[in-house]
Amino acid sequence: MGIFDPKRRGLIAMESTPKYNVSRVGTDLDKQLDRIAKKTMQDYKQVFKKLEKY
Amino acid sequence: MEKIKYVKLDFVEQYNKEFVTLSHEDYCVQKEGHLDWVLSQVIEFPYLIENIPKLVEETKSVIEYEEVAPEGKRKLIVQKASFLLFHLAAGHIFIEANKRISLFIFVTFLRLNGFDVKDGDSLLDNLFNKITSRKPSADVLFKLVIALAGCEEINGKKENCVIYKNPEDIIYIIQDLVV
Repeated sequence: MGIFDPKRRGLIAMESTPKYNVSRVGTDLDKQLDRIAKKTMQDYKQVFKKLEKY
Repeated sequence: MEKIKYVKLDFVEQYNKEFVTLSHEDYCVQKEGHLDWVLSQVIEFPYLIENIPKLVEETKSVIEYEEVAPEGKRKLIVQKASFLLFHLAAGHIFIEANKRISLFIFVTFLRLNGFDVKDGDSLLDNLFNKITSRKPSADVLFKLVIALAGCEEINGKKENCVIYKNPEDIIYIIQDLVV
């Protein structure tokens, strides 16, 4: 299978990307996602509070 | 042209931990390979990308990938969000909180790319009204997510829901919910 397996093509794209910058933190994108995630979690707690038992 | 942003594996795991902590459950990933598969395949979905464009991976929890014309962005984001919702809910990747994390990642992905779901009540109303004629109830939302994913009945009554078998089937529902 390897690189000819279509299910792994995305993975290979990620694996073949240079890793030299992966551990860099605090970029604008990370901060943006962090803000969005916190907002979504707040919404979850408010709007979907009744659903926590699921 | 605009880039599409995707969340990374560590981010999904981090928030699954938060969900199970909230409800005092145990955290455990039972299908890490499947989570990796979902998060990488959503990049390609619904196309097979012949020439993989540059992947910006210098961030910790989010990557930018693939460029799209502004006029086609909404349709593509709806398709990809449906893919995430379906596979995260149906895959049962974690021991606990699979439905919660699938909905959370679904909403976060939309917001990350400049879209949103209609407010919570509308989300419930719309999801419920698409599937059953009974009055909406907050308690059934995550049951509905799983019903959309095709692996569980609602209140044990199969005749009151439509069972979906793949992410393409729920796109027409999701597209009405995205603003």
